Amino acid sequence: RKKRARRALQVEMSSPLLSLRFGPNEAWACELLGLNCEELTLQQLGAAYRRKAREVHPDKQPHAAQSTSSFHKVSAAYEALLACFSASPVEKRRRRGEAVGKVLLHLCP
Amino acid sequence: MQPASEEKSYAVGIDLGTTYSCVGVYKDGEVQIIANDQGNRTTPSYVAWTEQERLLGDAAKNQVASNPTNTVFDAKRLIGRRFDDPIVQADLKLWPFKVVSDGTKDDKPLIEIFYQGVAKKFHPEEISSMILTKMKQTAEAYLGHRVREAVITVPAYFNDAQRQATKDAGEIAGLRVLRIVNEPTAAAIAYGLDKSTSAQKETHILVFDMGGGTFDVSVLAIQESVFEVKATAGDPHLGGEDFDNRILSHCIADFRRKYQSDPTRNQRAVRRLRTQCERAKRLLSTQTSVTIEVDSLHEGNDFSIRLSRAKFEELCLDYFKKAMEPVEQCLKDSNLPQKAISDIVMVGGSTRIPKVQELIKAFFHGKELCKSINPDEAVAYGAAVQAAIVSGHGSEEVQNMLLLDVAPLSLGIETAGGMMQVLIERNSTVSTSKSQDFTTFEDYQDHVDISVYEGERAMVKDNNFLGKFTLKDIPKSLRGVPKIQVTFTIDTNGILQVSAEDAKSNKKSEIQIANEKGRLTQNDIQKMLQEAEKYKGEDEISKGDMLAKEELKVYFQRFDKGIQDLDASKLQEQDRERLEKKLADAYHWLEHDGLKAGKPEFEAKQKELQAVMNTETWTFAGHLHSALYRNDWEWRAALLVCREF
Repeated sequence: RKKRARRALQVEMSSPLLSLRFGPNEAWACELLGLNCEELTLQQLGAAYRRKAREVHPDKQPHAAQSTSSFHKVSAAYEALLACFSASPVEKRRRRGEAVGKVLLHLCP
Repeated sequence: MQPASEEKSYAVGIDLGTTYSCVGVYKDGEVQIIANDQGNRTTPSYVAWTEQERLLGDAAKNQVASNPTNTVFDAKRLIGRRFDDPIVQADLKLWPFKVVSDGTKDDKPLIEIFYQGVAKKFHPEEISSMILTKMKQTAEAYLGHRVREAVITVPAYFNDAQRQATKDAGEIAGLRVLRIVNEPTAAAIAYGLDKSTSAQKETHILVFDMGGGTFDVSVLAIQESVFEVKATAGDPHLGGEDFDNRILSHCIADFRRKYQSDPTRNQRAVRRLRTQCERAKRLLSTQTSVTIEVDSLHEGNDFSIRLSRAKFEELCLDYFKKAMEPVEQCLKDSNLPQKAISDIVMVGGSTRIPKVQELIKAFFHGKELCKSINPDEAVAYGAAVQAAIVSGHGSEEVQNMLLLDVAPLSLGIETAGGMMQVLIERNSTVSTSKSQDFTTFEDYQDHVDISVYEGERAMVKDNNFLGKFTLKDIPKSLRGVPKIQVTFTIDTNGILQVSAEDAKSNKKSEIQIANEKGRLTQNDIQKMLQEAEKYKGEDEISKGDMLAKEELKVYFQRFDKGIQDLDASKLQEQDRERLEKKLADAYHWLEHDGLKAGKPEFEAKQKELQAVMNTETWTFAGHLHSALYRNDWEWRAALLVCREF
């Protein structure tokens, strides 16, 4: 039952009708995607990302040295905003690029 | 090469399939799928060695029953894998050709064949490169220009090593690989060009790609000509060949029961039966039952069995069911409900199987499937469009398109305790770059080993090892103090680069996974390139030999006719005998020594005969004029030669 509830929540969160207002934490991402932090649906966010991707993608700007890294930034911004739509808090943190849990990571000698 | 054709070079799209390959090019505003020299739009991915020569494509497949051990196929099932891979070990038992390990620590598989009495070993990359060469030649013959650049497709669920190996195969074939594109993504472009996708509205489609050897599912969002892959899943070892094998074992079991003899040792019998099984499988997509018949299959026994569609479905049902798992997985990963999918695109020959269609239809609650695109050609079609996009050719509509593909597997590094720390999640859009900070495990540790893995499991031992490198000379300090930033970058081909940097000393170390593990080194590629050139040279030499030999034969006829035509009074009996003996000797030489002779020998022989003839003709100049020499110019030249004697 728990699983089903979680799935239902997920579906609800991905519904095209749900709209979100982004906080100041996401301001940088909104700016990169050319949005003014207004209320957005998932669809509008996707559209904004695709429009921006067309501008900066290395395939479209083969001669611009910066295009790869600027595309990476746009992707990161999209992921950060997508995370806000996500149902689970773990997923939210993960998408924002934060470490999940408090495990200290080590590399073996 | 003329400069004019330098300018007009085309980039082609090649669908390098397990069983069949297909090539397309974007030309004059549309995609054209190119037919090969046999007139077929798909070419079997077969390479064969006969006693005299190497055969590719249809020619190789047609002679497979008579030459099973020297006919190689399914190279795609070997490429980028290790010899001890359980999948390779299982496949090995079904292949009539021999596969051995290369004996190094990489444990690469090598395909062994016999050519002109010598055992030769080939990497799977080389076999694939030969097929790519064939596709390249097909395109060149059609375009009338050299082809140097190509987009090659791979199954979406191919891992890093398999992608790398495919790219290498392209290089060995003398192609600059512009891009490695995922097959379902390429098919989606073909679908997208068909529909009008420049609409503002976002649509989601699911591509179900089941071919001869591999199976992929992708979910894409399409909006304003931007194709964004949302998620991808699949099985790199599931396809039509597996169904063939099931029918084959069913038939063999039946044969055993009927005749109490085992045909499995008889490679030729198995191959003939397999061909009939494949045919039966195809027919069962339109008919409800077929008869598989092979005359004198084994030990003189004829074999015949009736196979119904229901029986076939029963034999392969577990495979069909297995194919539904990635569909579910893909929808889950893309966070979409089933009803959000507006079209289900079926690609690959195996999607013609009614049961497969039925199952997927049932999964989507009876939704109609999109079959408007050709399942065999869609991938090459999309690859050709992508080639036009990347190389900057193509119409405005095409130039407007953009493809955002994803990495199919999570990528990460090993951390203390053998845990996998993921840096790039699966289904991340490529190209992408992700960094995370790490630290040391022990006090005064001065170096760290960074092992890179791909896969979804929590422990690295369950995942696929990609490569390893060491960051040295870290300033000594207590454990947990140093800050080491590890960065993963995937390029648009889905190929990975990893770097590690110590924040304090700015020491940096990196690898391109390209150069690691099981992959051919640049040296290997160079060597194989030369080998491929040699083959090309060999083909040309043998062509030259054949021409010289033919010319000599024609000369014999002319010589003979010349003697016959001579007036008896003009030619003394002994001279005639001498000439005839000379001719007989030359015939003898051609029949015996001539089998191994090359172009220079043939030419020398012809010169020799010419010289003899010319000395003789000196005495009866004019008589041979019409018989031996086609024109006056040639005749005068002959006279000049005569004077030298």
